[in-house]
Amino acid sequence: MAEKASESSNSISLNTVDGKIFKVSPTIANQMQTIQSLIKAYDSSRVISLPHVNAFHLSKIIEYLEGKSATTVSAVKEFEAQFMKDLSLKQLKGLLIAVGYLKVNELLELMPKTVAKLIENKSVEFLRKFFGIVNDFTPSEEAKIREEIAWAFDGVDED
Amino acid sequence: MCKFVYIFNAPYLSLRFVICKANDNTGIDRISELSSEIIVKKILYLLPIRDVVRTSVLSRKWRYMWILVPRLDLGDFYRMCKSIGYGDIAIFGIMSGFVMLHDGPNTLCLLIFLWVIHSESDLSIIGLSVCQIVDFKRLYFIIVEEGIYEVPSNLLSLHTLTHCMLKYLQLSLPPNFGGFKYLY
Repeated sequence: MAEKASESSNSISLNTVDGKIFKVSPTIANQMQTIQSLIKAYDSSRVISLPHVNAFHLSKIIEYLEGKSATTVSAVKEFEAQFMKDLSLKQLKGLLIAVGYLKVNELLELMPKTVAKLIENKSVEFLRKFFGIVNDFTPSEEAKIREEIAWAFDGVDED
Repeated sequence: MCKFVYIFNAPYLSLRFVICKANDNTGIDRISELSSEIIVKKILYLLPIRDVVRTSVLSRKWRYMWILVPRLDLGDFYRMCKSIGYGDIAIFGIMSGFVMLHDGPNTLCLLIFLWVIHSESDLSIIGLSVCQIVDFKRLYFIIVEEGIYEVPSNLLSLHTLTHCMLKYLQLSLPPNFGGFKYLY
């Protein structure tokens, strides 16, 4: 009980861009490298503002860091698979940006695998939409590049 | 930093010289975007070469992003090209372009699959294209079919090699060869 009390007094407050305050344990906070270095630099009782992370993304990251502490390897795998399955394409991209900013190493390994599987063999139009890319080639320039790498377009999935 | 990119893809790309500013092509600073570091080193890194090269059609910024991917699995590429009916010479043309253009800053591993080569001249061409890469650290020569092949002698000029794996290959060492100083 005494231990629990000291843990909660040690907890670190994170303020998301949409104004929600999360209290996390040092164990969780230290798995986000960006936060870890901020804790080292400042007094840990201070509220840390995260100007680039919203509440949904932070709650997902905390959910992952808490959930993956399952005891068996297969349970962790199952948890990770379900965690990824629950995310839409848009959420996946947003979360990956947040994960990259907070430097959550385990998610930085796991998430790109999911993204790679989703975009493998997908059309150029699908990728533009996913990455939010504006095509600034003229139609003739694009046609020329497509022709040069025609081998790369054989058997691409239909959207 | 101005970078000189040299493309030579005999059958499907014409010989051309392109000057591009590498930093301009890759620097994405906005936090609302995925960083190019994540895209190149984490996502594209996991994809087959065909998907990686296809990203050059996305936009001007992406045109040469693919050459920064630290690993290109040419073996996978070779099998894919074979399965859609490309001949060895055509595949070799495209592959030699990759080898020359590829600029992965931390080239982890560049798998060079040599298919069954019947003439010595082909082997020396491959040797030549390998030597174009100054910082070549790791080299894997793997022959897809068994047999003994002579290693191109200019391989010995790659002094910076740290890893080298030769399979089914025969290497003749000249008497004045000083060894690979950085080999683990």
